[in-house]
Amino acid sequence: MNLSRGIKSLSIFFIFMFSMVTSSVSMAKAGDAIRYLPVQDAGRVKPFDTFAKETLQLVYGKQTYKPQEGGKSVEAHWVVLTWMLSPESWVGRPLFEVKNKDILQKLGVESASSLYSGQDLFKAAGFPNLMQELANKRESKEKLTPYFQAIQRLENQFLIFQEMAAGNLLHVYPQAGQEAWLAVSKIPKDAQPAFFEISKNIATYLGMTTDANATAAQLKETALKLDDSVHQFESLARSSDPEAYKQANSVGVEVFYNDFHPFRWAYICYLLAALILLFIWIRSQQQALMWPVWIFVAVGFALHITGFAMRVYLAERPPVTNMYETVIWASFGVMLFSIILELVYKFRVFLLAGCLMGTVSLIIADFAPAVLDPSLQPLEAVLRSNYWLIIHVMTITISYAAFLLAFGLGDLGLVYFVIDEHKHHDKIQKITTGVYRSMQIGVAFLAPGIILGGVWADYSWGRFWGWDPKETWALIVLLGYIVVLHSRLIGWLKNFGMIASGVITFSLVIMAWYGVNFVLGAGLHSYGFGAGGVEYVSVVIGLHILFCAYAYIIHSNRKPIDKKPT
Amino acid sequence: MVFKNKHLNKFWRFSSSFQLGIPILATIAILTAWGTIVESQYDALAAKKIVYGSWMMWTAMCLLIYNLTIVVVDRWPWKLRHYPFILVHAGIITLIVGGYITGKYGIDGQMVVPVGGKNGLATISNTDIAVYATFDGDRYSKMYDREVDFFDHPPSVEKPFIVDMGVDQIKIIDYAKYAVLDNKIRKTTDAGAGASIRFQLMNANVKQVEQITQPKKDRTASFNFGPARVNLGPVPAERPLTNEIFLTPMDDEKVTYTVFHKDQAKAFKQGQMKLGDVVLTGWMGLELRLLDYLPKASEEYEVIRRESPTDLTTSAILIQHRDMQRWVALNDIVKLFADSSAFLMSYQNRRIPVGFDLKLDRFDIQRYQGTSKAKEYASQVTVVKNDQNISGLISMNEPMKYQGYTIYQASFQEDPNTREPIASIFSINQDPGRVTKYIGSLILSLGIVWLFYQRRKKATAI
Repeated sequence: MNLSRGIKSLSIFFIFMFSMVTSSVSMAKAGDAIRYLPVQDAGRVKPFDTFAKETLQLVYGKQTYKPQEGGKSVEAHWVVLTWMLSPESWVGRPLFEVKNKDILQKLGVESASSLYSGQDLFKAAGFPNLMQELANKRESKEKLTPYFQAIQRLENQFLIFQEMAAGNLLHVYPQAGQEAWLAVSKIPKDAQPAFFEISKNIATYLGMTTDANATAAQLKETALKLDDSVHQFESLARSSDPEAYKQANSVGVEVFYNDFHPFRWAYICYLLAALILLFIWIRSQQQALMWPVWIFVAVGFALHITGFAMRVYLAERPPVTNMYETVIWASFGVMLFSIILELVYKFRVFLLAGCLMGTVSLIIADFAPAVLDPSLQPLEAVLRSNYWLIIHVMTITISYAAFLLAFGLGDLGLVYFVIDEHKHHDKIQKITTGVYRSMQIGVAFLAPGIILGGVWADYSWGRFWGWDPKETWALIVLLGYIVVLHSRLIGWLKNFGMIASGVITFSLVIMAWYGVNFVLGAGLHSYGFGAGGVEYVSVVIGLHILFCAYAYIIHSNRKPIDKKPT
Repeated sequence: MVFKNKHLNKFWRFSSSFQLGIPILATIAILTAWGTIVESQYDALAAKKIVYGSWMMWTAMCLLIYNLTIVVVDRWPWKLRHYPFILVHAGIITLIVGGYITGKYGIDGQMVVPVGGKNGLATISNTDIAVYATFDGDRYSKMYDREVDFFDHPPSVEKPFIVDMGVDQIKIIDYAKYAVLDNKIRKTTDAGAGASIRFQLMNANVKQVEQITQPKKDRTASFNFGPARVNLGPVPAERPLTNEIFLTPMDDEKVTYTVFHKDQAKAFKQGQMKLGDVVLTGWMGLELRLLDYLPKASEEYEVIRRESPTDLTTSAILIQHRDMQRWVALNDIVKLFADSSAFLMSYQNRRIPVGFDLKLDRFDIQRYQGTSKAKEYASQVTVVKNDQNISGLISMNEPMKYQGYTIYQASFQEDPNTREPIASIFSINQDPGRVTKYIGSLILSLGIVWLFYQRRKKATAI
């Protein structure tokens, strides 16, 4: 790479970054101060913006509200605020997401859509029965099945709505000497007028936004007035307990993080890079067009790291403690490994597979918040020994990233087996090399990762190996890939076998990574357990196995021509 | 290696081959996968008994060691390029051997120490049946003590487990793996039995019905509901200043009550009450109504079987002594009467004396702000051996070592009503295989790194 091109790409990178940052920094919009209001919730202090988004996500299933009668989407913070200040205006609106058909039937609600109003659900004759059913199930201490998890969500929706309307959920006022902040309904008398002022200004502002006659200047004036009242309340709250309010210093970064969507931008970059790479790879144009690819990859990677760094800063811990975070981390690993392999081999296909897998996993993380929860949650006590946590979880998850790369390469390889393996023999050979290398990298990380897990478990639980499902499945993954690598070594697996193994063996990774938490749901690693998505994951695995079978049939029908000496 | 004998050579080739190795690895993978499924359906103990500790697993492990050993020996004489390969395989063998030593000779126990109390026994998962006999009702002598494993060998009516004490015998005729105990309070005529009451506490916000039963005559039983406590038993001479009421059995129909308030040592109120009577306690307008009173009661239970374990299940055995049958839950003791003697039979987890006492001086817990979720917790302990006192702090991930034992902070118990911690749970173990396992890990890791480096240079198998 010559110097001028290097400078050129660097500058483009910075311009790109700069424009993106400025477009998001314009947040200091009038009327937005309320989003930055520090709130104590779920064991930490967060901006009201995050609180509102998480609450709306839980109740409504999305982070912005789309009125059914059409019109503009309403941002989460306005929804939650109006819902607290004038609950009656929300009673008849379809705000609650319920998907379980059994529950709807028991409530006697017609299952037309997935959204219902509070009136439909909580006033239904069947509602108390459902709550009783849940209470009985809890009493028996048995595991909650998906049906009961759905009732539990309904209960949460009910409690959140009720408590929010009563002003008990929004904890905004710290008090010296007390851990728990006071909720809106409990604010001491001398601070009450300040909060009332906010409510009043919100009402005026929202009224103004729907008023067609209001001028932009008027709108701005009311917005500024609202901001002013928020700031005034904040200074009152700060003076009540300045020490506790210091935790609120990162709210600005958090709101920025909420608006910025670094991972979304990252996968857009990866996707663009992948598209160009696809063109290069198919046309076998090894030299052309690589510089835009590298720019997109570099920008995407930088954004990826930025987003990661922000999470670390906000959560004050390594971000590898739930499914969402491990997916983000593994997609980072896929990119890292594919970049390294690409720099070594220059086969183009490694980076292509990496970009594709990085894009796919980031998109999954972005679009399935109900399954992969992106909120920042406090850690279980046992995980607070950060040093070992970083080493053990990161090593194991990064090995999954390498296997993910092998999986991506395997998929590409199978395509060539379906098209024409003789014509594309060269490409298949390259892909096989990639699959083998990726598996090696994976094993080289996974085996020490498992051992480190053992050391950590020995140190904190008092046993090195306890046949816990999570660790057992990690071992099964290791065994699976070791079998594949050994089989290759002695020639049991030819190119096709290797490529197909890259795809099929990844099912074990999916089981260890996702299945243990979401299907088995047992064991000591229960932090990070969740539910949902099992159908989709099974279908994906099933389709891949079918694809392998199909490719095998085509492959074995072709084989005799090549192999039999005549 | 090559042998002269053709058959021996053939056998050696097979033993050192992938044809043996790969199926073994695959078998282990399948077995352990099955184990995780068993664990998710039942629990860790079931998975250990059914899969991980089964003969199939042992066979697979032995075959693996056999195969790995032969493979390594087969490379003799070893050259430098063989070393990473040898290290990896030797590392795995060492790890498995270490695991075997731990399983065979290690102790993996649990110790629950109440705040301010002490404990010198580690509870492990093995179960024992012990019988003590008495002829004068005062001194007991051990008649029988044996380890039992009813999980693997459940008794039945046809094939009962017989506890033979020479003069008498107890038959164990049924076993419930996962039993929920349904408590039944019954009237008895046993002179040593305690009393039982059922009462209601209510004010404008609270309405609660509870039952408390004395384990023995004059032994106090309590119910703590946070701001106040209800006790059944005599008023002690010394007591801390709290809100509490003592209900003391008087005769077959009446109890005396004594109400205390937390701000004064003297009784706030005293009197007698019978069924249906109400006492105004003066704590936040709470009133206590006596709903039921049995002067002599015994707590018995019936067993409801469950398919799979939950937090509420325990295991239980059905015993038959002469013409009496009853369920005995794990870690319970029953009293049985014969013509001129009485027996105490216990069905318990084994408790091993560790040779010192662990005293819990203080238990500190920090929670995430504004929630009840534990953030960090730690136990300030003192190890007491003879006259020696060693104090230390045990917290999450920071164990304490003493005389070959390692004591870890595992968990804690809290009062369900007040959420105050009441006891600290430690896991305490002795692991003679630890060093072996660490050496194995080290060798294995070294081998993997070396192997990876070597492969990169050689670029084989591509």
